[in-house]
Amino acid sequence: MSKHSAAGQQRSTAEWLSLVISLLLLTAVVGLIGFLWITPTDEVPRFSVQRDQAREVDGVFYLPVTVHNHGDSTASQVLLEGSLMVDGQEQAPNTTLDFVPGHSDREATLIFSADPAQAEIRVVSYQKP
Amino acid sequence: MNQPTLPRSIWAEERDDLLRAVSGAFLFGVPLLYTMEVWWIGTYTSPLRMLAGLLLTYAALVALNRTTGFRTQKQTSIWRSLTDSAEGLAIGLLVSVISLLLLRRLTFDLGLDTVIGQIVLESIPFSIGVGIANGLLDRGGNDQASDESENSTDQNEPPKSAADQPDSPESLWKDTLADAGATALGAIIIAFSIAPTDEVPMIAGSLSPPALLLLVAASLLISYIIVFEAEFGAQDKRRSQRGIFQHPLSETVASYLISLLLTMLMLLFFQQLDFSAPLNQWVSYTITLGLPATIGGAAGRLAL
Repeated sequence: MSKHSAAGQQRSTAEWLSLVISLLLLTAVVGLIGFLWITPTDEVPRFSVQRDQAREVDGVFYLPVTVHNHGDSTASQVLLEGSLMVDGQEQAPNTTLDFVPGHSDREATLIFSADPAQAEIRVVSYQKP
Repeated sequence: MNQPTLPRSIWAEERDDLLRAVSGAFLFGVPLLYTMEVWWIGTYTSPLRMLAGLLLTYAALVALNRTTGFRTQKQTSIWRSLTDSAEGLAIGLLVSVISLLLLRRLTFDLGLDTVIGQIVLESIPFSIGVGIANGLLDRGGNDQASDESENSTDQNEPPKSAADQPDSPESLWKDTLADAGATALGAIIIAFSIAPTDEVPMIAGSLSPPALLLLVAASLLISYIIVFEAEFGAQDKRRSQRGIFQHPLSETVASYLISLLLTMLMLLFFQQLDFSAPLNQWVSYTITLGLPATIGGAAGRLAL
Protein backbone atom coordinates (compact mmCIF):
# COMPACT_ATOMS: atom_id res chain seq x y z
CA MET A 1 0.00 0.00 0.00
CA SER A 2 2.78 2.38 1.01
CA LYS A 3 4.52 1.73 -2.29
CA HIS A 4 1.44 2.86 -4.15
CA SER A 5 0.69 5.99 -2.20
CA ALA A 6 4.32 7.00 -2.64
CA ALA A 7 4.15 6.34 -6.35
CA GLY A 8 0.92 8.33 -6.46
CA GLN A 9 2.78 11.46 -5.44
CA GLN A 10 5.75 11.05 -7.69
CA ARG A 11 5.44 10.41 -11.35
CA SER A 12 7.69 7.67 -12.66
CA THR A 13 9.86 8.06 -15.74
CA ALA A 14 7.49 5.82 -17.63
CA GLU A 15 4.52 7.97 -16.70
CA TRP A 16 6.36 11.13 -17.69
CA LEU A 17 7.14 9.57 -21.06
CA SER A 18 3.53 8.67 -21.81
CA LEU A 19 2.39 12.11 -20.63
CA VAL A 20 4.85 13.86 -22.94
CA ILE A 21 3.90 11.69 -25.92
CA SER A 22 0.20 12.24 -25.17
CA LEU A 23 0.62 16.00 -24.99
CA LEU A 24 2.58 16.03 -28.25
CA LEU A 25 -0.18 14.02 -29.91
CA LEU A 26 -2.91 16.27 -28.58
CA THR A 27 -1.01 19.38 -29.64
CA ALA A 28 -0.67 17.95 -33.15
CA VAL A 29 -4.40 17.18 -33.40
CA VAL A 30 -5.51 20.51 -31.96
CA GLY A 31 -2.98 22.24 -34.22
CA LEU A 32 -4.41 20.47 -37.28
CA ILE A 33 -7.94 21.44 -36.29
CA GLY A 34 -6.76 25.02 -35.80
CA PHE A 35 -5.21 24.93 -39.26
CA LEU A 36 -8.51 23.71 -40.71
CA TRP A 37 -10.30 26.49 -38.87
CA ILE A 38 -8.06 29.20 -40.31
CA THR A 39 -8.10 27.94 -43.88
CA PRO A 40 -11.56 28.61 -45.27
CA THR A 41 -13.26 25.30 -45.92
CA ASP A 42 -16.75 26.19 -46.98
CA GLU A 43 -16.43 25.90 -50.74
CA VAL A 44 -19.49 24.14 -52.11
CA PRO A 45 -19.12 20.73 -53.78
CA ARG A 46 -17.71 20.77 -57.30
CA PHE A 47 -17.38 17.56 -59.27
CA SER A 48 -15.21 16.22 -62.01
CA VAL A 49 -15.81 12.86 -63.64
CA GLN A 50 -12.98 10.72 -64.87
CA ARG A 51 -13.68 7.64 -66.95
CA ASP A 52 -11.62 4.48 -66.88
CA GLN A 53 -11.16 1.79 -69.49
CA ALA A 54 -14.50 0.18 -70.36
CA ARG A 55 -14.56 -3.59 -70.38
CA GLU A 56 -16.86 -5.66 -72.51
CA VAL A 57 -18.50 -8.80 -71.21
CA ASP A 58 -20.98 -10.65 -73.45
CA GLY A 59 -21.73 -7.58 -75.51
CA VAL A 60 -22.37 -5.39 -72.47
CA PHE A 61 -20.01 -2.51 -71.69
CA TYR A 62 -19.01 -1.75 -68.10
CA LEU A 63 -17.58 1.74 -67.74
CA PRO A 64 -15.87 2.49 -64.40
CA VAL A 65 -15.94 6.18 -63.52
CA THR A 66 -14.33 8.10 -60.71
CA VAL A 67 -16.09 11.14 -59.28
CA HIS A 68 -13.89 13.67 -57.55
CA ASN A 69 -15.31 16.36 -55.29
CA HIS A 70 -13.09 19.45 -55.61
CA GLY A 71 -15.10 21.43 -53.07
CA ASP A 72 -14.57 21.46 -49.32
CA SER A 73 -18.03 20.35 -48.29
CA THR A 74 -19.38 16.84 -48.33
CA ALA A 75 -22.11 15.98 -50.84
CA SER A 76 -24.56 13.15 -50.31
CA GLN A 77 -26.85 11.33 -52.74
CA VAL A 78 -24.68 12.35 -55.68
CA LEU A 79 -26.53 11.31 -58.82
CA LEU A 80 -24.25 10.27 -61.67
CA GLU A 81 -25.77 9.88 -65.10
CA GLY A 82 -24.45 8.66 -68.42
CA SER A 83 -25.97 9.36 -71.81
CA LEU A 84 -25.34 7.54 -75.07
CA MET A 85 -27.27 7.40 -78.33
CA VAL A 86 -27.64 3.78 -79.46
CA ASP A 87 -29.52 3.25 -82.76
CA GLY A 88 -31.34 6.55 -82.40
CA GLN A 89 -32.38 5.80 -78.82
CA GLU A 90 -30.89 7.40 -75.74
CA GLN A 91 -29.39 5.15 -73.07
CA ALA A 92 -29.11 6.86 -69.71
CA PRO A 93 -27.73 4.59 -66.97
CA ASN A 94 -27.41 6.29 -63.61
CA THR A 95 -26.24 5.58 -60.11
CA THR A 96 -26.33 7.36 -56.77
CA LEU A 97 -23.21 7.77 -54.66
CA ASP A 98 -24.16 7.83 -50.98
CA PHE A 99 -21.39 10.10 -49.85
CA VAL A 100 -18.64 12.08 -51.55
CA PRO A 101 -16.63 14.00 -48.92
CA GLY A 102 -14.69 17.13 -49.92
CA HIS A 103 -11.46 16.54 -51.85
CA SER A 104 -12.27 12.85 -52.10
CA ASP A 105 -12.86 10.25 -54.79
CA ARG A 106 -15.68 7.77 -55.19
CA GLU A 107 -15.91 5.08 -57.82
CA ALA A 108 -18.95 3.75 -59.65
CA THR A 109 -19.67 1.76 -62.79
CA LEU A 110 -22.18 2.61 -65.52
CA ILE A 111 -23.40 -0.10 -67.85
CA PHE A 112 -24.13 0.43 -71.57
CA SER A 113 -25.14 -1.94 -74.32
CA ALA A 114 -22.80 -0.30 -76.83
CA ASP A 115 -19.25 1.09 -76.72
CA PRO A 116 -19.47 4.10 -74.38
CA ALA A 117 -16.54 5.98 -75.98
CA GLN A 118 -18.96 8.69 -77.15
CA ALA A 119 -21.04 8.64 -73.98
CA GLU A 120 -21.54 11.81 -72.02
CA ILE A 121 -21.19 11.38 -68.27
CA ARG A 122 -22.04 13.99 -65.69
CA VAL A 123 -23.13 14.56 -62.13
CA VAL A 124 -26.75 15.58 -62.23
CA SER A 125 -27.57 16.42 -58.65
CA TYR A 126 -26.51 16.10 -55.03
CA GLN A 127 -27.82 16.79 -51.57
CA LYS A 128 -26.37 18.67 -48.66
CA PRO A 129 -26.02 16.11 -45.85
CA MET B 1 19.38 -10.55 -10.77
CA ASN B 2 17.28 -8.64 -8.29
CA GLN B 3 18.52 -5.24 -9.38
CA PRO B 4 16.49 -4.82 -12.60
CA THR B 5 13.15 -5.60 -10.93
CA LEU B 6 12.48 -2.05 -9.76
CA PRO B 7 12.99 -0.17 -13.05
CA ARG B 8 11.21 -2.93 -14.94
CA SER B 9 8.24 -2.77 -12.65
CA ILE B 10 7.83 0.95 -13.31
CA TRP B 11 7.70 0.32 -17.03
CA ALA B 12 5.60 -2.80 -16.64
CA GLU B 13 3.13 -0.93 -14.47
CA GLU B 14 2.88 1.88 -16.99
CA ARG B 15 2.47 -0.62 -19.82
CA ASP B 16 -0.33 -2.36 -17.94
CA ASP B 17 -2.05 0.97 -17.28
CA LEU B 18 -1.84 1.99 -20.94
CA LEU B 19 -2.96 -1.41 -22.22
CA ARG B 20 -5.87 -1.31 -19.77
CA ALA B 21 -6.77 2.07 -21.26
CA VAL B 22 -6.65 0.65 -24.79
CA SER B 23 -8.78 -2.32 -23.71
CA GLY B 24 -11.36 -0.03 -22.15
CA ALA B 25 -11.43 2.01 -25.35
CA PHE B 26 -12.19 -1.03 -27.49
CA LEU B 27 -14.70 -2.53 -25.08
CA PHE B 28 -16.78 0.63 -24.98
CA GLY B 29 -16.10 2.16 -28.37
CA VAL B 30 -16.40 -0.73 -30.80
CA PRO B 31 -20.19 -0.52 -31.40
CA LEU B 32 -19.82 3.09 -32.58
CA LEU B 33 -16.88 2.09 -34.76
CA TYR B 34 -19.36 -0.05 -36.70
CA THR B 35 -21.78 2.81 -37.25
CA MET B 36 -21.63 4.46 -40.65
CA GLU B 37 -23.39 7.60 -39.46
CA VAL B 38 -20.40 8.30 -37.23
CA TRP B 39 -18.04 8.08 -40.22
CA TRP B 40 -20.33 10.28 -42.29
CA ILE B 41 -20.97 12.93 -39.68
CA GLY B 42 -17.21 13.04 -39.24
CA THR B 43 -16.80 14.08 -42.86
CA TYR B 44 -18.73 17.31 -42.49
CA THR B 45 -18.02 18.36 -38.93
CA SER B 46 -16.69 21.91 -38.70
CA PRO B 47 -13.35 22.54 -36.93
CA LEU B 48 -15.12 24.48 -34.20
CA ARG B 49 -17.37 21.49 -33.51
CA MET B 50 -14.34 19.17 -33.44
CA LEU B 51 -12.65 21.35 -30.83
CA ALA B 52 -15.83 21.53 -28.80
CA GLY B 53 -16.12 17.73 -29.00
CA LEU B 54 -12.57 17.21 -27.78
CA LEU B 55 -13.03 19.76 -25.00
CA LEU B 56 -16.28 18.19 -23.79
CA THR B 57 -14.70 14.73 -23.92
CA TYR B 58 -11.78 16.02 -21.90
CA ALA B 59 -14.14 17.46 -19.31
CA ALA B 60 -15.99 14.14 -19.15
CA LEU B 61 -12.68 12.31 -18.73
CA VAL B 62 -11.66 14.54 -15.82
CA ALA B 63 -14.98 13.86 -14.14
CA LEU B 64 -14.70 10.11 -14.79
CA ASN B 65 -11.13 10.12 -13.59
CA ARG B 66 -12.24 11.16 -10.11
CA THR B 67 -14.14 7.87 -9.79
CA THR B 68 -12.83 5.31 -12.27
CA GLY B 69 -10.07 6.22 -14.73
CA PHE B 70 -7.62 3.70 -16.12
CA ARG B 71 -4.70 3.77 -13.71
CA THR B 72 -4.10 1.31 -10.89
CA GLN B 73 -3.17 4.04 -8.45
CA LYS B 74 -5.85 5.95 -6.65
CA GLN B 75 -5.96 9.48 -7.91
CA THR B 76 -5.10 11.98 -5.25
CA SER B 77 -4.50 15.38 -6.80
CA ILE B 78 -6.60 17.27 -9.29
CA TRP B 79 -3.41 17.89 -11.26
CA ARG B 80 -3.04 14.15 -11.61
CA SER B 81 -6.60 13.89 -12.94
CA LEU B 82 -5.93 16.62 -15.47
CA THR B 83 -2.81 14.95 -16.87
CA ASP B 84 -4.27 11.44 -16.82
CA SER B 85 -7.28 12.72 -18.74
CA ALA B 86 -5.01 14.28 -21.36
CA GLU B 87 -3.40 10.87 -21.76
CA GLY B 88 -6.83 9.26 -21.98
CA LEU B 89 -7.83 11.63 -24.77
CA ALA B 90 -4.59 10.93 -26.64
CA ILE B 91 -5.11 7.19 -26.30
CA GLY B 92 -8.67 7.58 -27.58
CA LEU B 93 -7.41 9.44 -30.63
CA LEU B 94 -4.71 6.85 -31.25
CA VAL B 95 -7.13 3.93 -30.99
CA SER B 96 -9.49 5.82 -33.29
CA VAL B 97 -6.79 6.23 -35.97
CA ILE B 98 -5.69 2.60 -35.73
CA SER B 99 -9.18 1.13 -35.87
CA LEU B 100 -10.36 3.40 -38.69
CA LEU B 101 -7.28 2.41 -40.69
CA LEU B 102 -7.90 -1.27 -39.90
CA LEU B 103 -11.44 -1.08 -41.25
CA ARG B 104 -10.25 0.96 -44.25
CA ARG B 105 -12.46 3.91 -43.30
CA LEU B 106 -9.43 6.20 -43.65
CA THR B 107 -7.86 6.02 -47.08
CA PHE B 108 -5.37 8.16 -48.90
CA ASP B 109 -7.90 9.67 -51.31
CA LEU B 110 -9.65 11.58 -48.52
CA GLY B 111 -9.21 15.28 -47.80
CA LEU B 112 -7.52 16.44 -44.58
CA ASP B 113 -10.67 17.87 -42.97
CA THR B 114 -12.54 14.62 -43.67
CA VAL B 115 -9.77 12.56 -42.10
CA ILE B 116 -9.44 14.73 -38.99
CA GLY B 117 -13.21 14.94 -38.57
CA GLN B 118 -13.62 11.17 -38.66
CA ILE B 119 -10.74 10.59 -36.26
CA VAL B 120 -12.01 13.18 -33.77
CA LEU B 121 -15.60 11.99 -33.86
CA GLU B 122 -14.69 8.32 -33.48
CA SER B 123 -12.23 9.14 -30.70
CA ILE B 124 -15.01 10.38 -28.43
CA PRO B 125 -16.48 6.95 -27.58
CA PHE B 126 -12.99 5.45 -27.42
CA SER B 127 -11.86 8.13 -24.95
CA ILE B 128 -14.91 7.58 -22.78
CA GLY B 129 -13.98 3.89 -22.82
CA VAL B 130 -10.53 4.81 -21.52
CA GLY B 131 -12.12 6.93 -18.80
CA ILE B 132 -14.21 4.05 -17.50
CA ALA B 133 -11.63 1.31 -18.12
CA ASN B 134 -11.34 0.47 -14.43
CA GLY B 135 -15.07 0.33 -13.98
CA LEU B 136 -15.82 -1.80 -17.04
CA LEU B 137 -14.77 -5.07 -15.51
CA ASP B 138 -14.53 -5.98 -11.89
CA ARG B 139 -10.98 -5.52 -10.76
CA GLY B 140 -11.83 -7.77 -7.85
CA GLY B 141 -10.01 -5.58 -5.34
CA ASN B 142 -6.79 -7.56 -5.76
CA ASP B 143 -4.68 -4.85 -7.37
CA GLN B 144 -1.86 -5.63 -4.99
CA ALA B 145 -1.89 -9.31 -5.73
CA SER B 146 -1.89 -8.87 -9.48
CA ASP B 147 0.94 -6.36 -9.27
CA GLU B 148 3.05 -8.72 -7.23
CA SER B 149 2.54 -11.56 -9.64
CA GLU B 150 3.33 -9.33 -12.60
CA ASN B 151 6.65 -8.57 -11.01
CA SER B 152 7.58 -12.11 -10.15
CA THR B 153 6.22 -14.24 -12.97
CA ASP B 154 6.52 -13.97 -16.68
CA GLN B 155 3.53 -14.52 -18.88
CA ASN B 156 4.87 -17.64 -20.54
CA GLU B 157 5.60 -19.32 -17.25
CA PRO B 158 3.05 -22.05 -16.60
CA PRO B 159 0.53 -21.36 -13.85
CA LYS B 160 1.64 -23.10 -10.73
CA SER B 161 -0.83 -22.87 -7.88
CA ALA B 162 -4.19 -24.20 -8.92
CA ALA B 163 -3.06 -26.28 -11.88
CA ASP B 164 -1.19 -28.75 -9.71
CA GLN B 165 -4.28 -29.58 -7.77
CA PRO B 166 -6.75 -32.36 -8.63
CA ASP B 167 -6.79 -32.60 -12.39
CA SER B 168 -9.78 -34.85 -12.77
CA PRO B 169 -11.07 -35.00 -16.35
CA GLU B 170 -14.56 -33.86 -15.30
CA SER B 171 -13.40 -30.60 -13.75
CA LEU B 172 -11.14 -30.02 -16.74
CA TRP B 173 -14.10 -30.30 -19.04
CA LYS B 174 -16.19 -28.18 -16.76
CA ASP B 175 -13.62 -25.37 -16.83
CA THR B 176 -13.23 -25.55 -20.57
CA LEU B 177 -16.98 -25.45 -21.03
CA ALA B 178 -17.32 -22.51 -18.66
CA ASP B 179 -14.70 -20.56 -20.61
CA ALA B 180 -16.27 -21.39 -23.96
CA GLY B 181 -19.68 -20.42 -22.63
CA ALA B 182 -18.43 -17.11 -21.28
CA THR B 183 -16.73 -16.35 -24.59
CA ALA B 184 -19.87 -17.18 -26.53
CA LEU B 185 -22.05 -15.07 -24.26
CA GLY B 186 -19.76 -12.05 -24.48
CA ALA B 187 -19.42 -12.40 -28.25
CA ILE B 188 -23.20 -12.50 -28.69
CA ILE B 189 -23.80 -9.53 -26.39
CA ILE B 190 -21.50 -7.26 -28.42
CA ALA B 191 -21.88 -8.65 -31.96
CA PHE B 192 -25.60 -9.37 -32.06
CA SER B 193 -26.50 -5.71 -32.33
CA ILE B 194 -24.01 -5.19 -35.17
CA ALA B 195 -24.75 -8.37 -37.16
CA PRO B 196 -27.97 -7.22 -38.91
CA THR B 197 -26.62 -3.78 -39.90
CA ASP B 198 -25.42 -2.59 -43.30
CA GLU B 199 -22.00 -1.77 -41.90
CA VAL B 200 -20.94 -5.42 -42.07
CA PRO B 201 -21.21 -5.77 -45.88
CA MET B 202 -19.98 -2.19 -46.30
CA ILE B 203 -16.75 -2.69 -44.37
CA ALA B 204 -16.27 -6.23 -45.66
CA GLY B 205 -16.60 -5.00 -49.22
CA SER B 206 -13.71 -2.59 -48.85
CA LEU B 207 -11.31 -5.06 -47.26
CA SER B 208 -8.75 -6.68 -49.54
CA PRO B 209 -7.22 -10.05 -48.53
CA PRO B 210 -4.17 -8.39 -46.91
CA ALA B 211 -6.49 -6.06 -45.00
CA LEU B 212 -8.49 -9.08 -43.83
CA LEU B 213 -5.34 -10.80 -42.59
CA LEU B 214 -4.39 -7.62 -40.73
CA LEU B 215 -7.84 -7.55 -39.15
CA VAL B 216 -7.46 -11.18 -38.02
CA ALA B 217 -4.10 -10.36 -36.44
CA ALA B 218 -5.52 -7.26 -34.77
CA SER B 219 -8.54 -9.19 -33.44
CA LEU B 220 -6.27 -11.78 -31.84
CA LEU B 221 -3.93 -9.13 -30.43
CA ILE B 222 -6.71 -7.01 -28.93
CA SER B 223 -8.37 -10.05 -27.38
CA TYR B 224 -5.02 -11.16 -25.93
CA ILE B 225 -4.33 -7.70 -24.52
CA ILE B 226 -7.75 -7.42 -22.90
CA VAL B 227 -7.53 -10.80 -21.18
CA PHE B 228 -3.85 -11.22 -20.37
CA GLU B 229 -2.06 -7.88 -20.49
CA ALA B 230 -4.43 -5.17 -19.33
CA GLU B 231 -4.41 -6.39 -15.72
CA PHE B 232 -8.12 -5.98 -15.19
CA GLY B 233 -7.64 -8.04 -12.07
CA ALA B 234 -8.97 -11.41 -13.14
CA GLN B 235 -5.74 -12.36 -14.92
CA ASP B 236 -4.37 -14.44 -12.08
CA LYS B 237 -7.53 -16.44 -12.02
CA ARG B 238 -7.38 -16.85 -15.78
CA ARG B 239 -3.76 -17.93 -15.79
CA SER B 240 -4.48 -20.58 -13.20
CA GLN B 241 -7.55 -21.80 -15.03
CA ARG B 242 -7.35 -25.37 -16.26
CA GLY B 243 -8.78 -27.02 -19.33
CA ILE B 244 -8.13 -26.68 -23.02
CA PHE B 245 -8.08 -22.91 -22.54
CA GLN B 246 -5.09 -23.17 -20.27
CA HIS B 247 -2.35 -21.42 -22.19
CA PRO B 248 -2.87 -17.71 -23.00
CA LEU B 249 -2.14 -18.20 -26.71
CA SER B 250 -4.33 -21.26 -27.16
CA GLU B 251 -7.07 -19.58 -25.15
CA THR B 252 -6.91 -16.50 -27.39
CA VAL B 253 -7.02 -18.56 -30.57
CA ALA B 254 -9.74 -20.91 -29.33
CA SER B 255 -11.97 -18.05 -28.23
CA TYR B 256 -11.42 -16.29 -31.55
CA LEU B 257 -12.59 -19.43 -33.33
CA ILE B 258 -15.66 -19.62 -31.09
CA SER B 259 -16.36 -15.95 -31.85
CA LEU B 260 -16.03 -16.55 -35.59
CA LEU B 261 -18.37 -19.52 -35.44
CA LEU B 262 -21.00 -17.50 -33.57
CA THR B 263 -20.49 -14.61 -35.95
CA MET B 264 -21.31 -16.92 -38.85
CA LEU B 265 -24.44 -18.16 -37.10
CA MET B 266 -25.59 -14.61 -36.37
CA LEU B 267 -24.96 -13.54 -39.97
CA LEU B 268 -26.91 -16.56 -41.19
CA PHE B 269 -29.75 -15.77 -38.82
CA PHE B 270 -29.99 -12.20 -40.08
CA GLN B 271 -29.69 -13.41 -43.68
CA GLN B 272 -26.56 -11.40 -44.31
CA LEU B 273 -25.08 -14.72 -45.45
CA ASP B 274 -26.71 -17.70 -47.05
CA PHE B 275 -25.38 -20.98 -48.36
CA SER B 276 -25.35 -19.78 -51.96
CA ALA B 277 -23.07 -16.85 -51.10
CA PRO B 278 -19.54 -17.07 -52.50
CA LEU B 279 -16.67 -18.07 -50.26
CA ASN B 280 -15.04 -14.64 -50.17
CA GLN B 281 -18.26 -13.15 -48.88
CA TRP B 282 -18.40 -15.70 -46.05
CA VAL B 283 -14.79 -15.04 -45.15
CA SER B 284 -14.86 -11.25 -45.29
CA TYR B 285 -18.21 -10.84 -43.48
CA THR B 286 -17.19 -13.25 -40.74
CA ILE B 287 -13.82 -11.64 -40.13
CA THR B 288 -15.33 -8.16 -40.18
CA LEU B 289 -17.85 -9.03 -37.48
CA GLY B 290 -15.26 -11.22 -35.75
CA LEU B 291 -13.50 -8.20 -34.25
CA PRO B 292 -16.40 -6.98 -32.08
CA ALA B 293 -17.33 -10.60 -31.35
CA THR B 294 -13.92 -11.54 -30.03
CA ILE B 295 -13.70 -8.31 -27.99
CA GLY B 296 -17.01 -9.28 -26.42
CA GLY B 297 -15.70 -12.80 -25.87
CA ALA B 298 -12.64 -11.48 -24.08
CA ALA B 299 -14.79 -9.36 -21.79
CA GLY B 300 -17.05 -12.36 -21.18
CA ARG B 301 -14.16 -14.52 -19.95
CA LEU B 302 -12.94 -11.78 -17.61
CA ALA B 303 -16.41 -11.28 -16.22
CA LEU B 304 -16.73 -15.02 -15.51
